Amino acid sequence: MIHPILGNRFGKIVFAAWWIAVAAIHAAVLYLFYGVPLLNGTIDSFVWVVLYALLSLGLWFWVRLSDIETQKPFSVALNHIGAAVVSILLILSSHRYMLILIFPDDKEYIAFLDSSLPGRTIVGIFFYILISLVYYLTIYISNFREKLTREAELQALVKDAELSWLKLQVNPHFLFNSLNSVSSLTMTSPEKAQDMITRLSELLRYSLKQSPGSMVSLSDELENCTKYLEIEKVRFGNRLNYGIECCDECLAVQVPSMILQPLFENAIKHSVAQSTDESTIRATVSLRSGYLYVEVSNSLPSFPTSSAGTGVGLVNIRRRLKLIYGTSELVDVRRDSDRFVVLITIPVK
Amino acid sequence: MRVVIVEDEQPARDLLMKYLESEKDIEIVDQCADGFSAAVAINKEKPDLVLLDIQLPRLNGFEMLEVLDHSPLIIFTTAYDEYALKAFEQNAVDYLLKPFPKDRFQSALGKAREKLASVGYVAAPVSSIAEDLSASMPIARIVVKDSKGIHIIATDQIRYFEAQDDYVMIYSHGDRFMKKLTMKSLEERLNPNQFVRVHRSYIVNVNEILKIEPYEKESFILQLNGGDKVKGSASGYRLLKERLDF
Repeated sequence: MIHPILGNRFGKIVFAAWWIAVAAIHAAVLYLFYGVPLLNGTIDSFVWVVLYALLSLGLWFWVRLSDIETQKPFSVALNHIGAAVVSILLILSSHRYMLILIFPDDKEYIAFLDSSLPGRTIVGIFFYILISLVYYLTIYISNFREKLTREAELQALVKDAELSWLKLQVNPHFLFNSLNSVSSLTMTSPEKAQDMITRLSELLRYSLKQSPGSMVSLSDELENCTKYLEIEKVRFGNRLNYGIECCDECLAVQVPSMILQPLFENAIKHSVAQSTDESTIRATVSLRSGYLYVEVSNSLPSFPTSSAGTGVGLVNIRRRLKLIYGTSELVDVRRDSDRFVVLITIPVK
Repeated sequence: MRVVIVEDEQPARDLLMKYLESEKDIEIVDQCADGFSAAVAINKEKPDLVLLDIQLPRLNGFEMLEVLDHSPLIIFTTAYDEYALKAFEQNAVDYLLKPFPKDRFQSALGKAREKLASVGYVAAPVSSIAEDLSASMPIARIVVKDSKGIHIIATDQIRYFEAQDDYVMIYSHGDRFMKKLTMKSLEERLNPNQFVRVHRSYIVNVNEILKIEPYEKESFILQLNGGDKVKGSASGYRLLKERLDF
């Protein structure tokens, strides 16, 4: 947090105005009620106020150190009592020392200076408390504001995640192309059409059942992906070949729902959909030292593709994994010689 | 009517064939599963009508239209509704959203027949560079046709572009191609981190720059891989400086 006084122009102005006012009142009180000569009173007040102004600038760092939220009230109080005693003693003695230097022969004034010590101590304590309170209030308000903006941001993020979740659930192009295949199959091969409709329904039911935060077993996820790939196989025929390898102990691992299907969608988009040759999509799942590794790779088409794959399709996965696990390092994309490989890492709870 | 079907999915092709079965005046001259072979087939067969999917392997539907030297009537058949506007800009007869019913298909065919029968119908030639199908992403390939055939050039392989009247000369590794295109539309569609317009007449692939030398007042010379030299202007220099961060 920046210094509330030195860190902004408004702070500096208010600070200067406040201490000028204090100096003026102080000088007036000395002159009117204690009969101190105007010159002595003015210099007395000036030195007094400069010392307190310096104290209040430095006190900020002391207040920051003695954070009420993270430290025990007892140690905060002790910090401040100690600091108050030391700083007030320092101010009183240096104030007295400087004024005696300035007016070495003014016996009457020096006598007044000594007699005013108790009063000055009380005023000093008052200033110390006032300044610390202002600082604590500043910190409190700024923390409160920060919290409000953070909450608003979080809410926006949640809303955003929900929206993209809805989009993620049903990819309209996949849906309409599949329905077109169904439309064709009803004429050429009604039984296959029926199969396809059943699979599509199961796929939709599975995705509608899930919510952004829900966890499912890997075997459920893989089953769903197989259904998805089988539907795509009806569309693409021999052009699409796929294989999934998974260790037995991996199957029970809980993973975020609907996290795998987008990987396969992405692989299809960048291979089968771009090439008339046979494309292969391979997935391997393994479990090592508390992490589940899911690697999905696709062969690359021999032709230049219309736009460079920048992994935009993977943004959603990266965002969701970040929301759930709090780190953005869980998705890794690389290009091997003839394959495009996406590796996601899921911490096992 | 002589028809070519361009569709990469077998079931979708079967459906079109079924729908066309009952149309007595239709002769299917070819079926193509990708944009490249479709371009070759259409240029050879010169059909009256093409049933065209947009998302296709090798060349997408719009890219394919760029390299045709024959302008058939086009009925788009696609699951994507976002290209309808672009399709009608290309003088499409109709735009069918998959899945479509038979009567909708028949009405599209009806429109095609009408258009074909209307005296003096000439399809507008396609000239603009095809929009990349993934909207805001920069293009990664350019399709060019010359006497030797159709070329698909990955933008990574392009060293620089030079404006020549209404055309752009594309200098790739080992070859050069001409395409009807404006520098402005090209500049907008290329990856700005890789291609910089260093001059009114030149766009350069920054990965191909070997040396930048000052030249006369307010201009400079770029020495490129392969020995070519390209002139740059003062504003081009500023742009290059900004992109290359020197």
